[in-house]
Amino acid sequence: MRRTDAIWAIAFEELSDRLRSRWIWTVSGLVLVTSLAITFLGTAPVGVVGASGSGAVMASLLNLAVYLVPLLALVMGAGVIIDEKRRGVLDLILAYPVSSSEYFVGTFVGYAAALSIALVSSFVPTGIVLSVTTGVNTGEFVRLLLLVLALGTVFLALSFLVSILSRDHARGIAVSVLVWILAVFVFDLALVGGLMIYPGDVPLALFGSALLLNPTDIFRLLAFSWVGSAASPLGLATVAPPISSAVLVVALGIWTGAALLVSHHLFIKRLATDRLV
Amino acid sequence: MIEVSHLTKSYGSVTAVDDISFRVEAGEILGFLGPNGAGKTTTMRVLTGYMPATEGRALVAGFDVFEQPIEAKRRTGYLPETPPLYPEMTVHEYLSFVARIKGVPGGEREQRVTSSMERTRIDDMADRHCGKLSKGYRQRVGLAQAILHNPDVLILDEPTAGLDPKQIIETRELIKGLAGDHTIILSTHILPEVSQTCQRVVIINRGRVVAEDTPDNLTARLRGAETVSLEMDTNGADPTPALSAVDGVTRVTVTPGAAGLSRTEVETVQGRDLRRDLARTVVTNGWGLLELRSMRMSLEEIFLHLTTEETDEDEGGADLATATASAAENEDA
Repeated sequence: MRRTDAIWAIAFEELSDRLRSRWIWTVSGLVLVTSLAITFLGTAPVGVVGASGSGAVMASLLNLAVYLVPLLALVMGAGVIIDEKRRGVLDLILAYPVSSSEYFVGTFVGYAAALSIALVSSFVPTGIVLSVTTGVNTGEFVRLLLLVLALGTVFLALSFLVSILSRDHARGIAVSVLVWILAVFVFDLALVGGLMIYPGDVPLALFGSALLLNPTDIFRLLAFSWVGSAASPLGLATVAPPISSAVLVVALGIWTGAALLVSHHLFIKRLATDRLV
Repeated sequence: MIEVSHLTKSYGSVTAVDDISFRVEAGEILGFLGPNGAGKTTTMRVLTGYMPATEGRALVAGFDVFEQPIEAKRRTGYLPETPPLYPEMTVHEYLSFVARIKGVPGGEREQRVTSSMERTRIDDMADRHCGKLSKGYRQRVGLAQAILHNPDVLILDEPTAGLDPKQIIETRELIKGLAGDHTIILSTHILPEVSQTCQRVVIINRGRVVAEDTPDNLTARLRGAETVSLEMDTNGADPTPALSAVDGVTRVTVTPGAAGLSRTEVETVQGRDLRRDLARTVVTNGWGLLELRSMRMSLEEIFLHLTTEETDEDEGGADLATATASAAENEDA
């Protein structure tokens, strides 16, 4: 048996299990409805109703992703592994010819695939509507979608860490919401606050480095770079720190990898001492 | 087939399993007994590769559980106390998933799934969702997933817990039927299950093996004397002098009953069956013999004897010389 067979079997099972969940489709539907509403009503405040493919719509979709995707990913993974431990599934699966690392990787792949399917189901219909009814740049929309998937994957990795640290589903959800508030609201507010307290004293490079400490900001910076039409309406394209896309992509990768490595290390350690839950 | 040597598992300062050693021969059913918290589940988890041991070694079918875990797991089937089935899957889907994860080749999967369902008699439930199965059927599906890849070793944790009497009998028969083809460790605290199903018993308490032998040998080793119970009609005569005169009798206790009947317990020296001599004495004296039976120490009594004595020893009470000696003898063997 190839070692990847066990990983795929676990990933497929996790994927099927997630896709059977009504919760994921409810949230996915909510994202779809909201993105379509943005598409059709996003320019209502300026007196235009209807699909008006423009930078404003793309910017609104980008903001929607920043707020909802991390929350969806964090809550989705809130009870990952620990719920299986509580149900006894983990004990049984690890009695099969599967290593704990293979189980961990398979679970992450399954969750990431389920999240990706949910996000694609939410955003692709909006993209189709935009491309059919307006002259939206399809390439830009595809890039936005790829970034959305990357953002979801980063926060899914963080949710694994939160889950294993929390040892309890309810506590995991509470911590996830805190992480979300921190990443989406508090971090930027603190950064802006710092800039206001020390106006002109903060070098742009330092400001840029600080943004790398928050995956949602990395996502925003990448979106400004890859989805130009979304940046203009927000007026941010000109003030964004000059960080190359390659550095931003690597930074997103490091966030994902670091969260997974730390959570894997904790998983193995707590498994050995039977302190997962 | 299974060899556990000097296995220790500690959680920080707490030692759950303390230097235990035992062997299980091919085709044998070994009863793994112990009170709650004795270290049974921890030992099972180490043997199934769920967690590493702190010290010691465990071999399954010649493979070291810690050095070659995947090879050892390929030869092990595990039934947890409550099999965690996926409620949304049908029995067939669930077993197919297990076959895939256990690495059963694609071409053999369907045949293995069908065969395990037939052996556990759940083939009529193939299309039923696992979430809608009764406790008895859930247990059988658990057994089916354990034997699916035809492992050399089966580790069954409380396989009859929560079943009704009919299901218990069926499950025991099923387990007995698996012996020979598989080497089985049966963890339980239901003692009659052990005496009815297992050829050998390991009793652990507070993380240590306190006895390891066949149920019969344990009985013989632990009882200080044989006891024979008699119910007689002696017409009011005291049977003590006549019974005490039988060679080998060490003590006679008479409890008088109504209408000239009496219940008498006769203790004899260990290792001698005096039932014939006692029956002859009763008949020779012209008494009516209504009942004569040998009172053996039950496994419950052995279990209590061993696990309680160790507690007493820890508290400065009776010593555990007999039990630990028997465990040591077997380990040496």
